[in-house]
Amino acid sequence: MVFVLIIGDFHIPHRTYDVPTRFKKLLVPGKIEIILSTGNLTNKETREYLTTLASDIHVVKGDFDDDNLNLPENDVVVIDGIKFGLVHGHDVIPWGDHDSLGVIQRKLGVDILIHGHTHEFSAFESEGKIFINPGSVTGAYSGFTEDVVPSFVLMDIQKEKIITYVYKLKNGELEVNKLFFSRPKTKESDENFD
Amino acid sequence: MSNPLAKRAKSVKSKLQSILTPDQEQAQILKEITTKVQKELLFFMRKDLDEQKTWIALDKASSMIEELSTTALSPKNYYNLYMLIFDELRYLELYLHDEIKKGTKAIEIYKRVQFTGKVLPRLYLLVTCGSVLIKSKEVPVKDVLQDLVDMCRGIQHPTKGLFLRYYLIQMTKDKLPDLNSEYSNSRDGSVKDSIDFILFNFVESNKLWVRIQYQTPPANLSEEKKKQAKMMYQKERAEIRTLIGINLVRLSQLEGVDISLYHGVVLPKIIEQIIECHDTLAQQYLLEVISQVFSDEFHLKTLTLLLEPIAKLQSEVNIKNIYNDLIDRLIRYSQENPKMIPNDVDIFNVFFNSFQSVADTCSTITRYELLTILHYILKLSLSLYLAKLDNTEKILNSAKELIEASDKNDPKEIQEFYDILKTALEKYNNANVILEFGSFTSSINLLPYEQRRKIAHDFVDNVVKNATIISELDKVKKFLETIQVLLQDSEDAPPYRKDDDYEQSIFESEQESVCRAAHLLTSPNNINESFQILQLLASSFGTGGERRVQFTVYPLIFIALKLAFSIQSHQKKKIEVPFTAKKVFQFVHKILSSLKAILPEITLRLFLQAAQASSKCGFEAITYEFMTQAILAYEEFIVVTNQQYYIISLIISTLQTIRSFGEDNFSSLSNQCGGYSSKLMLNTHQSRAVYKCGYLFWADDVIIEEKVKETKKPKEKKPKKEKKEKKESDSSDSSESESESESESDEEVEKTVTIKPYFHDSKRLFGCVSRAIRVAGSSMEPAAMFELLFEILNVCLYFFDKGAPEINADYINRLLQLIFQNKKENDFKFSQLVSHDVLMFFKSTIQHIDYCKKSGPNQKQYSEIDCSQLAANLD
Repeated sequence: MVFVLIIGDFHIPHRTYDVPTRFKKLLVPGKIEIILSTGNLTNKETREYLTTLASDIHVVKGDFDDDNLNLPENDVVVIDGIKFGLVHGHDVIPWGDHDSLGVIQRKLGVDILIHGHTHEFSAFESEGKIFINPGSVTGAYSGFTEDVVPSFVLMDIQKEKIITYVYKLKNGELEVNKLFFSRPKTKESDENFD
Repeated sequence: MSNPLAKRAKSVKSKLQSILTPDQEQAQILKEITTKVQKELLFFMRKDLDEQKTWIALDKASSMIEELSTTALSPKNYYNLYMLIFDELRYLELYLHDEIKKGTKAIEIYKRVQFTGKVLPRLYLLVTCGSVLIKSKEVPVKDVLQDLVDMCRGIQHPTKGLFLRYYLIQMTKDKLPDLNSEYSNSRDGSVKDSIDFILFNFVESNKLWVRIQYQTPPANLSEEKKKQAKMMYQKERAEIRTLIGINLVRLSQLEGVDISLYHGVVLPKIIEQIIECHDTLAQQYLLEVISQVFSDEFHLKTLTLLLEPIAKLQSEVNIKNIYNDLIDRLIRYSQENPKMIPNDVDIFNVFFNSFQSVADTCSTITRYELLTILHYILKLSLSLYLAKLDNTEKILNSAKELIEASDKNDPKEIQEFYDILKTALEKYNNANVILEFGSFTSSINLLPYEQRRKIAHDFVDNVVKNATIISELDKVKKFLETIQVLLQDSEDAPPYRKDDDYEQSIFESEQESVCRAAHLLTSPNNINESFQILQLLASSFGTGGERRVQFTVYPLIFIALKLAFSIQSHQKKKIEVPFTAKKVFQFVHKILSSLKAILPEITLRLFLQAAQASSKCGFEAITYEFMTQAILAYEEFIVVTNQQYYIISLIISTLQTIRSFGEDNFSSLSNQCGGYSSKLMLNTHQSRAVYKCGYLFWADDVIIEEKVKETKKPKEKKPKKEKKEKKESDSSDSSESESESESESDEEVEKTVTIKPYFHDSKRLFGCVSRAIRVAGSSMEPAAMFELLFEILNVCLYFFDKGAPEINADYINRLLQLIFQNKKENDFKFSQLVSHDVLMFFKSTIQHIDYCKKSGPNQKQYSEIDCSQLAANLD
């Protein structure tokens, strides 16, 4: 059992002042093992905030992240045998497009692709692969939609399945939903190829 | 020479007199007397008592007490001797009690000891027997007390007299008339007699204590040693201060001392003595003791009286500590007993008036001390009367006056003044309240640069931490004025040095705080006021210079775009708006245009954001202008190769989301994108940017309206791949069908767009993809070439899947053939040409094709794709 926090598109201080207090109360140190962040933090302080929550942190560069943060454009992280791909998503064209995300997933060769940019939570499965967009944890302004709902995702990776908790703040009210995914099958033959 | 050690000891002893320190000398004297008392007198005294020879025993005791007549001991050592004798006298007292029980009259013994020859032993014995006499109740208690306290006047030597009085107060403990005490009746007296007795003793003790400092050391000492002895007396006087304090403790223990006696008799007398003694140590100590031993309830009701002497104290008294002690106690008390705070007294006023009279009359008190006292009073006021803003205003004004009174404040004063402001800030924890004060802003401006900057930063952080929305235009104005030091260069600031990392990190942190707070300066649901606030922010931020604007321009633009969306959503809901979003976009345009020369890349990105927003609000012309500005900025300012690719990609991706353009505008912008893409220096950049342009011409998210669909559209049904949408189920109740379909929203959002053929231009798409393949194929590096070709293969599959006529199975087969051809030409295995990851990418692409052949809605089309040749040669 591994707890993975999937979080991103903070846009502090460009678009908003802070992570909502309701979320901050939920996000306490000691529970989360790994953080996968889709980026657009965009300041150092936000990265420091993440380091207070867990020690194993992976952040990719969003289109508004400062070069000084030295973030990679994408990242591949193996967690409990599952390959996670991490991109912000501004380089996906069209933005947020499922099929184009499929291309990135194939390019990175991952089982689960974590992406962001649209500030809208989404989760879907395609060809046995899982795609998760945690949305914007701060509910930061987005050109995609007038009403951004602050959200993040907590993944509990178990032996048989992956339980995905989706936390949203709708009009200030906390809403938690559960999604179940079966563990993606990792093909041994892939690894032996060449 | 038989005993060298003895000889040596002798010589040491002879030297001793000259080299002993006063401390060592004192110890020696004490040791001598103690030995005498212990070995001889005590031994006999006890023996005599056992043998029940009272009078002999009293004589012996008298001799023992005689040792207390010494003047050779310093106060501290005298105390040690006193304690030894005190213990023995307790023994005598017990013995006398027994005698009384056996029939001896207490009054007889009391009268008898009056004939003791020497004064000091006589008085000690009288006190001892007096205590026995009280217990025997043979005479009225009040008479005994009166008699004793009067007779103690017989000793006027400071140390000796003080200890005697100490003995008196110790021996009469538990024997004083008091409420509920056995010694309280019409004959023995009342609590009033006890009060008089203790107060009298207190005043006399205090006078003696004060005089210790003037006591003359033994005459046989050298001048140097006399000096040392005097210093020691002064030091040790402080150490025996409890001998005075005990009187006040005793008073506080009397149950009968109620608030009216305390207020009417006890406190006035103590205060009178405090003032009259003119002694710094006594004044400081006694005020401390009052505050500690009497109840907080009493203090609250007698504050005026208690604070009255403060202005009249000796100049060396540390007045601020007295305020500190008292205020700390009262704050704690008020927190523990919030209901016990009296309504009839304005505690703040009492303290504040006292402060004013101290400030007016004490010529020696420093500005720093006065500021410290103000700070204490502020803390008290904030914990007692948080809502009374007038109090805080008074404190701030007084503090301000103190600071203004000098042209050069020392660092301690500045720090205290800063602390006062910070306390107010943290206690209210609400910027809207802080901004109510007339003096907060002007106070901040009195601070020197560093502290001004610090408090302004504290203020901004406070707004952010508490998410305080400042919604009134006037208050925002005042807020900006208050934090001005962060918004502009100050005249008194040290010269800016970019290479100073520490300074730079503070500066960044300040600017980020300002940016965060900017989001809270808004009037929710009031578009007009919000826009006015925004304009105010813009003019304020505008004066910050490049190094600040590069931070502050972001919130400015995003707040504006948010406002534009909010106007739009009001209109959708048919709520009246004062103006349309157009006005806001014009504002955005003005700001970005004014900054584009100094911050080209930032403004370029923000122009793109603005374009996306204005398009969503349906303003085609404005959107076109924003896009044009972004492209112009690209052309003029973006010169670094990597950056060029990055930015043109952003421009293409943004344009791809915009569906509001008519054909002319769209052609012009898409042509420019195509043009700049094909001018990129590196093949990899060029190829990628060009295929990205392809997406401009085949928009999957354009929904075709019904009528149009019937007549025109080649692509009726969007081929949908098998795609399992996850349903969210409520975690608390998973069986409930209250779930929503996530994602896919991109396709459905833009509803009102009618079919525009230029968004389904298969020929232009074909042109882009073909060019991308050509550029990729001309790459000199096989690894880069294959990676690009695999990528483009995926791009082609995307458009094939979407039904673009020119990107058909034949086209894809030709691309696969090209890849195979290139591999053959290179005459190598894939594994030698490309990295493992890239080969895996290719392999999963082939698997993807296989997948689509076997399942999904477009099996038939996919079956025409032939990748058998490559699939067989994947190594």
